[in-house]
Amino acid sequence: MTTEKNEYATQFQDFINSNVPDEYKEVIQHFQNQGLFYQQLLKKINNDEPGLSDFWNLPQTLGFNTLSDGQLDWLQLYFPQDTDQEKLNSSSLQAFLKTLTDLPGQLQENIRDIQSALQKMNHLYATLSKSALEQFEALKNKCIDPSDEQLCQFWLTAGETAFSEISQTPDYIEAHQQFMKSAHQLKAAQFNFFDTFAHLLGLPSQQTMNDLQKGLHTLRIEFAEYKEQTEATIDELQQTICRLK
Amino acid sequence: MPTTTQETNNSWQKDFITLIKQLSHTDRQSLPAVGSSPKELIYKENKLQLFHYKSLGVKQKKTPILLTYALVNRPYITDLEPKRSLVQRLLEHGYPVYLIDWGYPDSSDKLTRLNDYINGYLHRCVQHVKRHAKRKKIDLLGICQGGVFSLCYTALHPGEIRKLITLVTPVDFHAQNGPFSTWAADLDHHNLLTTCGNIPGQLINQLFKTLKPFQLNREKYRQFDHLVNKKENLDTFLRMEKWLNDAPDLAGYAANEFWVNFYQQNYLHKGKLEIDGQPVKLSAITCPVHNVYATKDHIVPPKSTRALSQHIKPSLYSECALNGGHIGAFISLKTQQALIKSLHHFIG
Repeated sequence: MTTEKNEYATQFQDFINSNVPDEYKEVIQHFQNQGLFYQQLLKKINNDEPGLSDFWNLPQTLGFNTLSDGQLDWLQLYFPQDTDQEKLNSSSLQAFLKTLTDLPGQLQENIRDIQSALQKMNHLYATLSKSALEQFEALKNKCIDPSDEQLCQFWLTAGETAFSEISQTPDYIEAHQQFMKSAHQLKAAQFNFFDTFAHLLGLPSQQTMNDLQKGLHTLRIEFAEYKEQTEATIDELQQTICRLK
Repeated sequence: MPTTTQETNNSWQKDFITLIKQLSHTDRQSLPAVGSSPKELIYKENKLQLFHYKSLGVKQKKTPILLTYALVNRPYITDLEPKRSLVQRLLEHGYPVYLIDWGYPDSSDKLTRLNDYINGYLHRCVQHVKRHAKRKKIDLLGICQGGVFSLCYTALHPGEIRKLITLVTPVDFHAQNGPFSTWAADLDHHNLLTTCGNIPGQLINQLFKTLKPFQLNREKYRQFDHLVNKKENLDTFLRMEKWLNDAPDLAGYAANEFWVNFYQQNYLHKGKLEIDGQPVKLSAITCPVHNVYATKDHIVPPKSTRALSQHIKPSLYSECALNGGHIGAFISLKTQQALIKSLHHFIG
């Protein structure tokens, strides 16, 4: 068994270090993560260990357990980070960082709102896990000597049922909306700050960029419509020529 | 007799090692191809591309079919692989097939409106297909949000479309309470916009995965013996993974309009929708409409799509139920035959 385990670990590591496409590595990592998850789940159930409700942890299920997780890329889009050391050392950025420390209370308020929303969400996730555990126990108790496959099915059914119930409650909806709103406000404050700093450096403001984008958008449409009219006219003329021939 | 956990673990490890070996094989130095049916680009505008598929040497029908997919995810799902290709099945029946690829919007597209998509991009594509196929009218096949666009377009330009097919297309956005419609009801979409003014595709993906979180994030990766036992199954799985993770950002302005007018206000179904000041009445559609829905669709429930029957004259309306989910409806091997039979019967 130990040899098999070593073989599995070695092959996995060799694969991750190899030159296969990254997409394959992602797939294998997904399977590995879920494989380990189900192994631990079954071990916990069969040994009747405490803490089973953790296996319905929603943020972890959705891949929010680590900030380095690739699935969080979309979240990082909201808060672009630039930690390039060279840039950090530049005098302008030092000035920027100083200004950052003097940020108005608005930002702190935004962060407090986010923390408050996260606390509410964590409470709801704990309720979900508890509810799922109760449903799981009920399903398990109805079955005599369930197989691993059945236990995994019970885990799934319990989780989805608990989620469908709690996700429709006003508290759940409100907490998520508050989080999104707070994150948006924080992003907007951060964005305004960067815009102000860009102005100090003589860079184009966001309004200038917006005006340019609006102009480009209008030009694109006008050009496409003109091109379409021209092509339609050419087509009509060609048909007329064909008829005249 | 129930298997022991040790047996389960051993079986998993064996399959896992086999999967690693299969993916390491020299035959697999590149991902399985998607959208590989031969086609030519006949029109390009900004990020949009309009393709015409090469015919298969069978007797050709006269009226072309234009496929229009949703802005979320990529349209190559209609030609995922030869066996699971709606495009191929249509070509086999001699239909001239055209496809709109909306492309990947960037920050310069954030001001694109629904009017630009429907009366601009889609309208110009219809004109190009008409000229390319030398026909005065074409058939339009819209899938999901592409179906919504097709309905709006046909209502606004009834003279352009000979027959309309809607596939897994929502009409009544408030038909059934589900997580998505409940969350959408009060959510201010501005909170979803990035600093560049668009909605990240990965965020939309995450929202879809949240509809069935334990199923879609864990269960689907639990068992894979069916993948290691058949190369074909692994290829299909890899193609689907690629497609699922290939989500373009949504142009901010149009996404806002869609969110408010469809998800929140349900204006299309209520008959109150306006595009660029023009009322969009589904009752203005005067061509035959074939509405195909999936009985196990958790994204667009049957009730939502079947609401179309309330707007179209009974003599013009027909529908078909497919036993599958939102995507399985047109890529599953089981439902594909039923789908193509239904389309063939309707289009002629």
